Amino acid sequence: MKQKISRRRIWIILSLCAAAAFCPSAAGAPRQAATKIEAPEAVLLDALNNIYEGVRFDHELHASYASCAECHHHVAGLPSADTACNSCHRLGTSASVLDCKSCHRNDRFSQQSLSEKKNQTGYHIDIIGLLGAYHLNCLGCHLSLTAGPTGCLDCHRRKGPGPSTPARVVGQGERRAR
Amino acid sequence: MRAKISRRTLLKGLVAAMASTISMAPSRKSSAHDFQGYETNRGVLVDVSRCVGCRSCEVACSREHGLAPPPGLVDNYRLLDQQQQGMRRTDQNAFTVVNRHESPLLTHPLFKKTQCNHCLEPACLTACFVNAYTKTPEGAVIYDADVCVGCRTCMVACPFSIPAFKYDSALAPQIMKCNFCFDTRLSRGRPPACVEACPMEALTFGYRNDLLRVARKRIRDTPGRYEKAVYGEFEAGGTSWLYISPVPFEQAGFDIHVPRQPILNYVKDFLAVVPMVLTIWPGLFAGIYLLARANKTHKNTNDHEDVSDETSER
Repeated sequence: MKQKISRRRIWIILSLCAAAAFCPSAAGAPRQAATKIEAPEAVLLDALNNIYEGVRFDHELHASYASCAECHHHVAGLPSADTACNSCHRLGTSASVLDCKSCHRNDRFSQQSLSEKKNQTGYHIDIIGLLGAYHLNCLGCHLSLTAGPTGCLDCHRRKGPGPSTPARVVGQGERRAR
Repeated sequence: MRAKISRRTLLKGLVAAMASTISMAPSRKSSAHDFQGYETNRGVLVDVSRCVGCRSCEVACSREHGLAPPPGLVDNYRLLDQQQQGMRRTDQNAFTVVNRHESPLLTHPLFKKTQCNHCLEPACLTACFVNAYTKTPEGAVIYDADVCVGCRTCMVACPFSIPAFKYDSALAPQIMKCNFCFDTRLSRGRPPACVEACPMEALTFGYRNDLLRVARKRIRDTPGRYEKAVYGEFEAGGTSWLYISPVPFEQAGFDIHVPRQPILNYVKDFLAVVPMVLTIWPGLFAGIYLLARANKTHKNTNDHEDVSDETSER
């Protein structure tokens, strides 16, 4: 009887040791990179400040779900999760500014943006705007993980009077229902 | 003695005239054959996999052109559900419509936006005999209601069934069709209203040549995500609006039977003959008529001489 319990304990201790050995090493790399560039705890997304309340983006929470390279492509000092980036930025590059809007422009149809876009080459010919970057990245992940907000009003809270929904995202509801 | 034309020389002349008509037709055709579109032709790349069916483009379009607001926006979930797939068409109140399509390859529905594709060599323009249509260097196919006589040939000619007619207007009936927001936006280098409204950036605005590169890049970068073709690159001789789809195009509501050459090519041979017919035939038949008449009068007076001529020729 005593022997049995001790054997179970040994197994438990062993498995705990294994978990302790593997988990930090797995999560270690992104965390290290994150601390290197002083990852913010939260980010206020307020590109549509004139119409909607800003959205508090819990950066710390998301960093625990995904590696930095999954959202920040190749600029977080790590090889990108998008393999297309890695053909040039093999080891990643660490940029001084990492926020989305420094590359994904909010004024994608301004003369400056359009002329910049025209001079792009290689893989950078298809950099989407901030609008698409937020919607595709946030919604894509939230829908596939069935976690996080996916409704229009979850993020877009109108400041003054006026129509509450920027777009009636019914298709999303459908996708969610399936 | 009066110079006479025998039946043989007349037949020779006829054959020569017909031969020249036929031989000149292909030379005309080849002169306008390889039109690749204007360098400045703008376009829109539609990524069907990104569209979520929110119909923001429909709303933006109706606002831009002062049309009736799209129906069923409050409960458009039910509208898209109730309607048979691919049933909604562009009409006088909607220059663009979004339809839902189910594909057996996917677990979620696909949404396909329909509007004028602004062909590089538009069939509507070719069909219009009063030149009410114009293909601008910016790529838009625009329509002038002041010139239009209301024959609606363009509606028949369009391979995508886009132009609609304002039947309910007794005083000012006209063709209603997407104009790429030419007057208000495109002529100033701005994208059409629908593109600016799309929250998923399923619509990408730019030069057509650049968009083809972007489309190929997306197909190449994400293997397995898209069909390895760009709808509109060759369809109907090439269109300004281009599409990439995650499933075979026929499953996403595209007409894959649209010919790969401009609709104009089907009538070019015939149309090249028309000016010949109009210039040569009147002279030719007038000549034949005069000859026949001359022969007849000649026969009446010099019947005997004619017969002797015929025999001597043999």
